[in-house]
Amino acid sequence: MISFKDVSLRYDRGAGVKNINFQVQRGEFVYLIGPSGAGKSTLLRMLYMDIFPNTGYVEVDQFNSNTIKRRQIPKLRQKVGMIFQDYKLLNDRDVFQNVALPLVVMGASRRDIDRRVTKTLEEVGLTHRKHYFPGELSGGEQQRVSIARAIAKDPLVLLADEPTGNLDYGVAQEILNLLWRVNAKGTAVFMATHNIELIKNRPARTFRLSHGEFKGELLP
Amino acid sequence: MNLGFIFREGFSGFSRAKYPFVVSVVTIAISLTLIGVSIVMGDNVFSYFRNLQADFDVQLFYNPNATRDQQAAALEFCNTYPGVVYTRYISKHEAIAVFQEEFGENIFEILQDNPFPPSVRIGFDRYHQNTGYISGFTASLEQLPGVETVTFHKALFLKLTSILRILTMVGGIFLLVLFIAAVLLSSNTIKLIILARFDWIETMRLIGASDFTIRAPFLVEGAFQGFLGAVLAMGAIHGIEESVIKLTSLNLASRLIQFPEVILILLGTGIILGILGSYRAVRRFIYLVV
Ligand SMILES: Nc1ncnc2c1ncn2[C@@H]1O[C@H](COP(=O)(O)OP(=O)(O)OP(=O)(O)O)[C@@H](O)[C@H]1O
Ligand SMILES: [Mg+2]
Repeated sequence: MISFKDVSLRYDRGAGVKNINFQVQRGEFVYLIGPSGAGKSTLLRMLYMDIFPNTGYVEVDQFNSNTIKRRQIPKLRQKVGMIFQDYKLLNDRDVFQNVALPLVVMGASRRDIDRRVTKTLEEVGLTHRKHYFPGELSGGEQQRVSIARAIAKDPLVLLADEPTGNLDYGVAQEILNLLWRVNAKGTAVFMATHNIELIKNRPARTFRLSHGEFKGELLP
Repeated sequence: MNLGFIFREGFSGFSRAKYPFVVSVVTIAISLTLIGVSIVMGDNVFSYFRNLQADFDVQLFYNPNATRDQQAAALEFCNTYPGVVYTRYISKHEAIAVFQEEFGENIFEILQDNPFPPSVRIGFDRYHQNTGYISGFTASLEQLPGVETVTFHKALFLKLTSILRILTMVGGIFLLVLFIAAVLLSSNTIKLIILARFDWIETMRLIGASDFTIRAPFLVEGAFQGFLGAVLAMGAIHGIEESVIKLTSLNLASRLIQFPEVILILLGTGIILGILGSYRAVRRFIYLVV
């Protein structure tokens, strides 16, 4: 479902990633680890086609980085959920509306939106915060809202870039558990982190990255 | 596509970036006021010259010995000529009254005689007010029996025609420049609005919103600003017209805020102006922001 084939990307100022090859199957859980500046975010951004490789190609489902058209990118992103260290919630609307956003944009019916948002909020345990605004939530709750927003549209894969970066250990553990529950329902999860301590308790296939180079993979 | 969402986001834009919103509305209002006041001014100047031109009609003077039948035939010729909107018969007697009104002397008392032949004033509608056409008319009129001369102040007529043409052109260019300036100004404030919604745009991109979904709310917001700007402008133009009439006791021949179609045109212009301003800002600027 996801594959990197001889991918290299150089930023204007140098750095980037070199010669990356790997594949992730449907329903897999994969960690991407490496020190700061290793190129983890760079790989994820190529997956949601925010940036494009200089050589090689990235494939996500039927979309190929070499052939995708600009207007197809929204279609790709409707199949790929994304969460970030800084949540990226809209502060001017409540939890329900934030989670509903991707469904609204896709043109889902009001009934459909109601049903799916309600179900997703239940899954992430935020039903009681439905009408709170992001500013009224803790960091862990905000990250759960952003996970709900990412999975409400039932994506093929959930991309997580340092999702626990701003959270205390206990809360980070809860978020990680939640990601595993999401994965148990069939969504592949691809999570970049440098918190090796955290993921020790939930072992999975792990790619190691350093200085933009693939340093092999560890199996659980 | 979800139109409800686009309109909701567009109309709520006001609460997200109040200051640029107000600046944009005021910009549009000022531009439309300028445009409206120029139209009123231009139209009044225009109709002044148009009335002046109507004074330089064709005048037919009968031969003093013309028979009643000859006079009637010539008058009938004028009345049935295409483009003639009015004819006015001025008898010998009336001619003396006209002279007295214009020069303050009773010529009959001075000369003990009436030197004026009977005459007819002939006016053309605006579609036939060109010198070639009128010259053709005067030439055939002069051939008729009983007609002494036909006068037509061609040079003056031509001068007025060219003044009217220049007025129309200069006015049109001026309005176009005003309109373009207004679009540029409002598109710059829309850029501020886009900047203020940086997070919104970034999030919309990430969740898979199409370019259209991201841009359309800004166009809706622009249309809304244009509408509000037009309403303000109509108030301002009305106020300006009222105070001009009060202060100068000038009789404005044409006023703007009078006809429903003018109100609709102003609203339409405002909305189009707002949309064009947003479109220009949105087209490239959104890419540069994210
Ligand atoms: N937009 C950019 N322009 C230029 N260089 C960049 C850009 N983004 C990242 N880089 C460089 O590319 C390299 C990889 O960056 P990347 O953000 O992928 O690392 P990372 O593994 O996600 O690090 P972290 O754990 O700190 O988030 C770094 O050296 C970084 O400085
Ligand atoms: Mg990173």
